[in-house]
Amino acid sequence: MKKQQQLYKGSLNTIIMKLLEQNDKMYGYEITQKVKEITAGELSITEGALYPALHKMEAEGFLDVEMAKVDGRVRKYYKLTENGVKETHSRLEELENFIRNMQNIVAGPSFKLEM
Amino acid sequence: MKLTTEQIQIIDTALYKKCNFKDFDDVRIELVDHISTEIEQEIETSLYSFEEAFIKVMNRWNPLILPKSWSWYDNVSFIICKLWKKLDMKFLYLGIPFSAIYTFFYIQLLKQDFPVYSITVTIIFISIVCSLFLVYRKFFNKTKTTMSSYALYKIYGQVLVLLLFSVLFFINRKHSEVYLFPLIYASYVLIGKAWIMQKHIKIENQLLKVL
Repeated sequence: MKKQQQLYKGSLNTIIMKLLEQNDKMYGYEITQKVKEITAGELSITEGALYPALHKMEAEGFLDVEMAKVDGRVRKYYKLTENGVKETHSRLEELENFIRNMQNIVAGPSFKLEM
Repeated sequence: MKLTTEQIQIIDTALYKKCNFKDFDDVRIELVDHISTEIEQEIETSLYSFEEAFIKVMNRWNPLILPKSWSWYDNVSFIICKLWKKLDMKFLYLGIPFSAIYTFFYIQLLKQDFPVYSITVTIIFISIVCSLFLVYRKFFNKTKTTMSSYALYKIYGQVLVLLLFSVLFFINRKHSEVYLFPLIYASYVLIGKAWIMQKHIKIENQLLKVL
């Protein structure tokens, strides 16, 4: 499980961006829960990774922020900017290529692990 | 069960006072919402009282929100420092090779009578305008965000360096290249900080609508 988390780590931004593309706007807690739900608990994004990633993408101009009062407190929603949408598509393409290549390597007939 | 205004205020105060989030309104309100939601979940699923759930949730958050010293940043939490270090990389560290390259080309182009002096004067003028903008915002910001606190960190010292080397640059025009490196570096940093401050204004407008 821990090793699997490491594999996901490099794709954290892409995962967040993909979720935002599908859901228009989301807030931090919602993102963590959605990831848990989609991966049936296999992957959990920690707050220590989520918020720095969101703040970095916001600073880079990939995310926009919208605030609203909900249940007596302020909720900060994130949504993709135009640049963010383009970046999401490009990152997803990269990720798909990566997965395809990994599948070819792992499932290929000549693949074997040598120690 | 939804938390009451008083209970939300307890979380806000804990972040404000104990975790030193007074200079980061944007992140503080975000954390208040996240922590409140987690406490509500704990109360519902584990049947804890607010106090018990508050302690449990805050203990889990402590490593991320308790202020520590990170290199030259004192009393800043992990969540803030992560972004600040990325901004440092973009502005403080990248400014060093940029200034070195600019200084190198300045010396070379000056020998060939290329109007590089006028280009440098334009850069200095822009950075002085950016400095004035930052100092103005230092006094008239209505909220404090991660961006504004970063942009205004040690701002007076940086503006002083810019002004001092600008004066030296203009007085000793014949040997202006001697003062160029620190001058271009200060300009790079201050123009970058003004750009960050622009982003703060956008967040501030959002904050003012809901606060």
